[in-house]
Amino acid sequence: MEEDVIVSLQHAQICHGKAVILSDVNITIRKGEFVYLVGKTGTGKTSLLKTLYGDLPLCGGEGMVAGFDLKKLTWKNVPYLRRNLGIVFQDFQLLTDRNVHDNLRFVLKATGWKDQKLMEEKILDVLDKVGLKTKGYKMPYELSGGEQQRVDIARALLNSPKLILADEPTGNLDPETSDGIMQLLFQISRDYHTTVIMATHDYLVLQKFPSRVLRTELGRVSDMADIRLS
Amino acid sequence: MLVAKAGTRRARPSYLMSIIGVALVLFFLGIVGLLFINTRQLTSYFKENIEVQVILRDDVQQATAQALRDSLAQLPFVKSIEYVSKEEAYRRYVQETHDSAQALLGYNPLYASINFKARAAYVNADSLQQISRQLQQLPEVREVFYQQGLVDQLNENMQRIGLVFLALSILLALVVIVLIDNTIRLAMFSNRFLIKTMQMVGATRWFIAKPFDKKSIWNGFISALIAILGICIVIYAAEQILPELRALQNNLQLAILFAGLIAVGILISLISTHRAVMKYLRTRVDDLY
Repeated sequence: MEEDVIVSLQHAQICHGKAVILSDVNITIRKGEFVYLVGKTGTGKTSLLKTLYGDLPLCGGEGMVAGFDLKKLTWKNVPYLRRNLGIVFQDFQLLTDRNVHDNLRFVLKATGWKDQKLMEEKILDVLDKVGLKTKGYKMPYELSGGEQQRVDIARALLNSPKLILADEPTGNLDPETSDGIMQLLFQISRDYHTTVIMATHDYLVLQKFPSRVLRTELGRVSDMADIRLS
Repeated sequence: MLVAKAGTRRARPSYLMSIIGVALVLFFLGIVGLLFINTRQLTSYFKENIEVQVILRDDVQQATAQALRDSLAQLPFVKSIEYVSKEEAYRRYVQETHDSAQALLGYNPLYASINFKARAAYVNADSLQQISRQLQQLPEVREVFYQQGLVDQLNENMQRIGLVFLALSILLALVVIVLIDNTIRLAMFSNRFLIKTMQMVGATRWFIAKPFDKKSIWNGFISALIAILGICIVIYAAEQILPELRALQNNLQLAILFAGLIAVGILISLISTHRAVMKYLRTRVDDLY
């Protein structure tokens, strides 16, 4: 396989329980690409993402994500796959029992960081990247939706991931805040050559920030290349 | 600020309730344990108060009798022993009955005897019978007397009470395990999304479970301490009402009971918590709602 391929699915079958959601999925996504995953609710966007981060098993075909064979994932090696990914959720999913700083610190400790000084530097670094350098002491519920989403993205950046999977990251945000988040994601993708796959059904976002689009529809995924609207 | 307060408060009560819940069941388990210990203590107390009278022949000299007393005192089953001379026996008789037989008969009809109290372990029909048979073969001994009916009844009743307590303890232990398990699982239920999120950021199962396990050991310990405190209050109150209970107090057995409660508290708390965390770690996000 080529060096810079981050996600590769061949004749993949995406299931949820016993129900087949998507079949014959063929996708190749390279380093630094920004890819939208669009489609109506219930067409399998989230299931596809979940399969990519190992929350659903790949039930057919071949799949590689960040060097991990999806067919060979078990509960033991899934954590190590996820350390190569950054996952951004629609509902943020921050640890509600601790402040922003400790949310990030937990991830670092959980992923094997030991050096206190390096950990502090990294936390400041990612908070700076998302523009929240002064909010580390705040509890998640003290932040606005946009700020929580920025923390979520900061968390995804901690381990310098090759791939960021974002499941409707702007779904709970107003248009202005969404723009800020989209600019941030594009900037990350551009500056660090991080691959971003973002599920959305917000066509306004697609128009403002055009890029490659994958569409889930009728149990298939179609590659629509770039949408460029003048 | 109001929001902040509500938020901080949200995470705590589940632990508090599970600590109190576990403490309560441990308290009841401890009380039953205490009753069980005290029944045994009480049995021993009664048993060691049963007197065996070795009645001596009239022709036995006092010096010989004293020597016999001393040699009997060496035997393993003897807890306490005394020699009661003819005169002493008569004095006691008069004291008890306010009746003067000597005045009527013209002589002292009572015999000298060696009275001993046996250790609790030997106070049962078989052992006492064997002991009395052996003693009877001594040339100095006229007869051996003890209240056989009392011994039989005591043993029978205590065995029955002991069985009831044992059954009660086992039943309660089962209830305790189920109840504690449920309380803790309920507490962990409120952490299920937290656990899931930790998993999403690449934490291993072991790493996620560790802090919960540690906390559960601590919580189990606190619960046991609360239960022990409650039991100590009960013991103190009982002793205020019935000062005789102090005679039964056995500090070693009490210490063992308390250590047992701490062990049960920690073990059940740890096992239940670990099981609950593992359950949520294995569950898919969609099944958590």
